[in-house]
Amino acid sequence: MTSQLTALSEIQDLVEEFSRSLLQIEAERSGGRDSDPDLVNAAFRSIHTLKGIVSMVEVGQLVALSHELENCLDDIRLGKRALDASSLDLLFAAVDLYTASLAHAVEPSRAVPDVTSFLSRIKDTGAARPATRSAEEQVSLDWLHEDVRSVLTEYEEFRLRENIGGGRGIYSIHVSFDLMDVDGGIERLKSKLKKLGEVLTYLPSADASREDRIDLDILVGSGEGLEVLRASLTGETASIERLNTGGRSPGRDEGVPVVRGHESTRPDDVAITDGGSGKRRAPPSATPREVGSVASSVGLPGAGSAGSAPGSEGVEEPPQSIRSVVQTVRVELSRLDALMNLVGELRVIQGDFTRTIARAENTLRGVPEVRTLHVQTRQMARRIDELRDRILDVRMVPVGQMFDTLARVVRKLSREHGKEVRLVVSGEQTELDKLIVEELSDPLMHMIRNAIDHGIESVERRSAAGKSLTGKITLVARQRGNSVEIRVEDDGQGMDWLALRERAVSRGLVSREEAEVMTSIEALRLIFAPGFSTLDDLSRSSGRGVGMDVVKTNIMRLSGQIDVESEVGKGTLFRLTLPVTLAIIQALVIEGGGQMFCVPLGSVLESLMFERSEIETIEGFEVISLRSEALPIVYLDRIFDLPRKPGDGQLYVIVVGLAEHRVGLVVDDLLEQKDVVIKSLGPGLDAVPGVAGATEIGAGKTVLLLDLAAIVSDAVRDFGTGDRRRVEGMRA
Amino acid sequence: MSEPDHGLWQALLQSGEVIATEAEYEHGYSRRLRDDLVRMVSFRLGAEIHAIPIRHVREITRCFSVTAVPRTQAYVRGVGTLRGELLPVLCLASRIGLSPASISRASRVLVVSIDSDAFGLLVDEVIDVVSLEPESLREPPSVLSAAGSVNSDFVFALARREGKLLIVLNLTAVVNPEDFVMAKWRDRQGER
Repeated sequence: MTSQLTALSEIQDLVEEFSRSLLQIEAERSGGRDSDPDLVNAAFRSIHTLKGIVSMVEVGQLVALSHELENCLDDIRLGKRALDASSLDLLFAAVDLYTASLAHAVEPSRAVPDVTSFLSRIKDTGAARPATRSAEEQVSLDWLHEDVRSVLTEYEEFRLRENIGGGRGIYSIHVSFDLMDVDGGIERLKSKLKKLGEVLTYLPSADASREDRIDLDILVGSGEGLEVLRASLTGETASIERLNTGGRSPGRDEGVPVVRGHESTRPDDVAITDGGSGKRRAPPSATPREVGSVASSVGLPGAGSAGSAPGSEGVEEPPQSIRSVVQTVRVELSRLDALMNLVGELRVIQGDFTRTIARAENTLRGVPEVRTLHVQTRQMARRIDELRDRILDVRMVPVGQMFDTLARVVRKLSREHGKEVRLVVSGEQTELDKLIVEELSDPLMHMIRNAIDHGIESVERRSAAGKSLTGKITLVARQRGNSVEIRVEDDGQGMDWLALRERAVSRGLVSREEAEVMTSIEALRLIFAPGFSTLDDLSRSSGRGVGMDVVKTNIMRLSGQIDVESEVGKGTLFRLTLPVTLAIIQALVIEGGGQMFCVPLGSVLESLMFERSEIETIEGFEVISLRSEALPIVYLDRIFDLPRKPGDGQLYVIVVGLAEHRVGLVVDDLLEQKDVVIKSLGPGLDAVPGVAGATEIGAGKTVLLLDLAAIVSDAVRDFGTGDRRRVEGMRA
Repeated sequence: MSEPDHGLWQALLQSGEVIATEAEYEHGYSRRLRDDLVRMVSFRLGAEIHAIPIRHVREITRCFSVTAVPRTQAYVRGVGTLRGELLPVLCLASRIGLSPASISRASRVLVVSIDSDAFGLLVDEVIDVVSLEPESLREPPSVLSAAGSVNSDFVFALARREGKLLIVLNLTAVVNPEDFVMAKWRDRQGER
């Protein structure tokens, strides 16, 4: 079962990787550029690996799907099938099929995806599209040494032809790496060369210069001149030359295509071959040129090629890929939770320990060991905190994965709505607790749907308004101290706060009088009120009866906050603030009704002290005035039916925000602020409204964590059951 | 098992003697006379002796500090932390309609698990672990259920033990997490 789950999550990762490649390909296409062949190849590889995994676990028809998809991608990368909008659509549809199949495998109640019709679709379209280039048109590769040609894969050969056909020069680089640094060296060189052209293949060279080095021959296609490429090799033990690719290269047809690669017509070529040793290389890996090595190429021939198979499969996969896979471990979240619990307990024990020492100090005054003990417990505390932070680190995942999923949603929906929408993403590396990321994806998806449905205008309207025809949705994540801010912004039509206000009145959410005094910010916040929807006709994606109130509730459940800004004609911005992690939260410890509670600091807007005499009433409801606004107050002890503290003059108020309301929660005392580990209350008690969990503070003392949103919304409902006008005082 | 002399075997069987198997020679005569006995933990609630099956009891601890949880039934004493795990603690006496327990030196918490969830049950005193023959268990008097008493669901069976009445509780009826929250707050929750 566990291995099945592991395999499923591996499949999911690969599908996400695949989808990422597709999105990049599409981005390049829409940018008018030729898609990077490496991206197509990366997509092909993802599916190839995927095929291997799905054949081990039986998940629906994924084997057949992966097989067909691999063929399709192979055709694309070999130019036998055009990479146009319709084939991209097909590939994106495959991503959805994979996702649906995985969902079905994990939860059999989910619908079984229709793989069969997809398979016939992919076969049909494949048959309808013949090869883009017929055999006669193909660029000749006769100039290439037969031994080299024989080891090139079909794909490498195709890329080689494409490069020559595209008028790029073909360069051969002979490079030598230290045996210890070969993986890093290859990556380094590849990334340098990628900027200048395309790395077509690299073959292990038989020309090993020394036993502790590995020599490679790299074929590169590039539009740049030889000097530029050579400059990029600075710092490497390498030599480079331009190959004679036959008739296509200008002014070059010497008729000696096999060995004579170096050109003497250009001065820079001469410079290179000057240093050549003139040695012929062993056939299987040789490219047709003479070695012009910058480094010493004398030594022990053949030694460096040990272990590198010259077969066509062997050369395609660089050796470092295996290593990186082994260094990753998949862990279930529950296991990390268990570790986190243990750390929480350790901290509690450590706290007890410190207190015991403090007590012992009175009786053992002057004993030198007590002092040492103090120092040691402090050290222990630091280590425990460090341990906690490390464990939290492990739970962190970049939000990028979620953004990729959203990019697919944008793509799909903009098609469905016939709108042009571009998603601009930044801060993908920002990390959040895995749990939060999971819980966040639905609300974010909903907001993006809203943006496409209601925000971004049709092409005609955009053009009439003088806006760029393509709508833009910006998704930005960034860390701000202990929280992460995520912004979802569109440049659509924005929201008219006057219209929102009217709607709220017609829906009976606010009275006419209340509406009259509303500010634009308050009116915009109305979209978070339950029962508020801006479009009467339910649209397909976002109008399923759930609205921004659900989004708000979900965000609040994560101890997060959501805010909105909008300007008519300019667009709308949602700003989400989330805690970096859920397991530990910053809490305010309070006392109410003779009992200790803690409240998440994130949902406290401010806390204040008041005199009892400052309380006034509006039609029977108690309010205090806060910056000349009436703030309705509710009492924690009354809400929970706890004994009331005999009144002295002062009372403490925690100001809590709920949708467009501000409410003050009266408590007996504010004690301290501290980081607490939150646990569920367990069966039965986790259903108590108003209590979100519990934590252990000090020696075995369990303290309840209040669910402020629930408490305040209950209180507000109680206000609401009276005359609606009585709520007047509640507008902040 | 090596076959003993057939005649002797038959004779022993007819005499009603229990014959030990070879395995028992090897491992000793630890065999119980019966294997259908029900083992129960018996405990005192006020003046009554009650029992629950031992297979549900994970451990028996001294009382630990418990934090009251608002909006719950009176018999829910609150939530406590036992070795890092949070668990609801119930006053068993008030749950089954007796007067609430007061904590004394003899008070104990039975930690029981039902479907892998843990609950603490506060009892006045743990008495014994008893083995009961299934046939000695009696149905509770029908008058209890006829009276429509809530308690009738809680009583699984009655037995006698050393002259005293032993009330075997129906644990899953007594410990019902869905009942912990006060009814009016249970309704509220549905709206959220």
